[in-house]
Amino acid sequence: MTREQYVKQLDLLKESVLSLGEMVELIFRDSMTSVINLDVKLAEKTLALEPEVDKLEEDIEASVFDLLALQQPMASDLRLVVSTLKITADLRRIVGLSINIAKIPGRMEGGHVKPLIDTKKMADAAAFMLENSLKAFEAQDVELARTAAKRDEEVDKLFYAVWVELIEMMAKDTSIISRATNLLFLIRYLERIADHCCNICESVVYLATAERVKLN
Amino acid sequence: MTEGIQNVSKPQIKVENLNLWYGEKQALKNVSMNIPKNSITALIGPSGCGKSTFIRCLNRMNDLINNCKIEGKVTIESDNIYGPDVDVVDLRKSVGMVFQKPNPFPMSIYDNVAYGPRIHGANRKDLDGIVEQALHSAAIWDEVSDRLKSPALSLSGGQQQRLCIARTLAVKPKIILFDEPTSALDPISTLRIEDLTMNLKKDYTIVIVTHNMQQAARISDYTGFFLMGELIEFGQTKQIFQNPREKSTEDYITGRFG
Amino acid sequence: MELNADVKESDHKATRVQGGLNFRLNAKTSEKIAFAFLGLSVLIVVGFVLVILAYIVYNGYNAINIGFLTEMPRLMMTQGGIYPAIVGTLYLIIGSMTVALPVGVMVAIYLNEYAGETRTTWLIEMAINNLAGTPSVVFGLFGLALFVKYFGFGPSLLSSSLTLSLLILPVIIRATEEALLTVPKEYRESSLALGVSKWQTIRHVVLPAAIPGIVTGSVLSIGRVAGETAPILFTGVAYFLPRLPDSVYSQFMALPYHLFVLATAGTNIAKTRSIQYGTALVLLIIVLGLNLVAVLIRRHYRKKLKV
Repeated sequence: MTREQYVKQLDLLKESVLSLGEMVELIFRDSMTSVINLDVKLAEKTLALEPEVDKLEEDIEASVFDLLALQQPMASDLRLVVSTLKITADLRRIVGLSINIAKIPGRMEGGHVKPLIDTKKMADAAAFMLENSLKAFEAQDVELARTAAKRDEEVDKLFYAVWVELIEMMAKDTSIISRATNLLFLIRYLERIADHCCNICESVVYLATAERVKLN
Repeated sequence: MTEGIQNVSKPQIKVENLNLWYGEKQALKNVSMNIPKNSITALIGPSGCGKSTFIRCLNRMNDLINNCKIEGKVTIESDNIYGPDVDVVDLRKSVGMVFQKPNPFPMSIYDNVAYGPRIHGANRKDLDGIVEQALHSAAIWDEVSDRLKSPALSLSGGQQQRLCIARTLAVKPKIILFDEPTSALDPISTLRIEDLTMNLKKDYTIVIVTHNMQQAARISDYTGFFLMGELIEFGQTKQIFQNPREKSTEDYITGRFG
Repeated sequence: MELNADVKESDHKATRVQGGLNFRLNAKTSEKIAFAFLGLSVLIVVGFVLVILAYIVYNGYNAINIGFLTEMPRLMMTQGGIYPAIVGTLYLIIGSMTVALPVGVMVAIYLNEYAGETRTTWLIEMAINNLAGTPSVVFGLFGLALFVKYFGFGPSLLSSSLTLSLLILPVIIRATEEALLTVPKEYRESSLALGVSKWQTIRHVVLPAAIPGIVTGSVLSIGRVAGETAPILFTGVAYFLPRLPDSVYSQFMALPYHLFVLATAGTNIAKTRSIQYGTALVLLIIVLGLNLVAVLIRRHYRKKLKV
């Protein structure tokens, strides 16, 4: 095997993306828990993790540029480096959205306007998509990526249902508008997170097959 | 080698089942390839893989080598160049070649370029024009126009190589073969030659053998990967460098060879 | 730990420097010795050449004057000049080179550029090598049999020139072959790749590049033509002939034979001593002069070919 150092650098890059992924999963889960239970402490703890994510993202970007400038990766190596860059950007957006979610408990005065049953379902689906898109990336598993992306439909449907429900509630009772709007934002964030997971799945398919597909 | 034949409606060069032996040793095995007109085709592969041998089949330079046996068919614009009544000298007029080491003749710059046309009977009056035109096309006119009579060997390596390209252009070939044309040059001269080849493809069909994979990626439209005398994969350069079909191509391109 | 490593490294450096110094002293001494021996050898060779030259010049220069160079020999060669011998030698050079140079160059081109590595070429090469090693007196006898008798040219300038051209043919072939070999293969390839035929390539690229080498080889053979006695002895040189040859079928005088005759067979060896040295000096000057011309030609071509 030639280019040992280079191959090591590529492995390291992949590992950094996976550990970024773990961190993102944690932030997303905790932000959801904090919003469901309106747990301000947990929310603050989650918010404090953002600088760490930024640091890791910067590191990954730097090694991507190093590899591109110094090693001229080709073929599957090139696809790995490029999809790493895209996946990292998607993960960073998911963190941004999760941070927005974690900011909701601090603004929420006096409980949720309705039980969060469908919203929880959305969160579960999004978590499934996030977890499995990362697994698919690790194993370069096209099938798993497609399965994960498939659940975006479910998220979209739930989003629409909850959206309509909340609008109707606000039309009936204007006093809940402020609290209901927070929920509207929440489901909007969840829907976006699912979209970013789809993007990750697309990157995985490109990495494995060099084909560009639209999965959502 | 079915993947060697891509769908080109009218190939300029069509190679079918080419086999070549040096004595007992088979250097090319069943190579088939269609090279389209006005394109740059790069041939890559490790040393001794047969890419240089292959390119030398296209202007029959292998004829100069003793006990070299060739089987198969090479068609250039509907003429089988290994046919019985092909004049090798005429063939080489239309299929020019630039070599690895810049090798201008020990004559003046002008005489180097005029050498081919002069021997092929160009009119003395036209010669100045032919030389100037060729030097322009080879992007070296501005550097030598005021010293055409000085010795070609006084030029720098990169200039010498461009002079050699001008010398080839002066004979007005249709196809130009480059056999590792930049392996003896510094990076800037290399980039100049690369630019030059990309400009030349408007008027010529170019086949280039190179050890420099980035070079193949930068300049070529099609890339062929040779390994141990076989054409392993042939396709659009974009495809070869982003998503090669064969494992050995992938290994070679990503530097995990051997 | 780090400190330790540091110390170790500097230790290591110290020993290395010392070792290097030792080694260099050794190398220096041995180089001095070798150089001394080489210098001595050169000195011996140059010394001998200079002594011979000085001896001939010292003894011969008194004999040389306009008359010596332009007059016929008189009184059984004890007086007068050596004009016919000078002219005869020049004629021999011209005659034999006219034949041997084109033939030799063409043979070399054939062997080097066209003939493959077959048994026949191997035989030809062997023959040429043997020819080069054949004693010159054998060439003389061969010339006598072939040119003088069989072709009926008689003892003449023609027979002698042809005999001498046979003698120098292998030298010229070898020199030309060597010169052709030094022409880079790339010149041939790139000329052929321009759709230029093989013969045109040889004529316009290979031969011009080989000329310096061919000239050098030719000059060596001129020296031999001017100096050989045995091949002309049987084929046309005259003992005494106080006029110039009037055709290629005439006999002639030549410097080396004249010298030989004066020094061995003359009636008054002592009397002709200064004429002998004068003759030797003239022969030497002719050969050196031709060498000089060759050097100039070579330099001219080198300048033209190289940067």
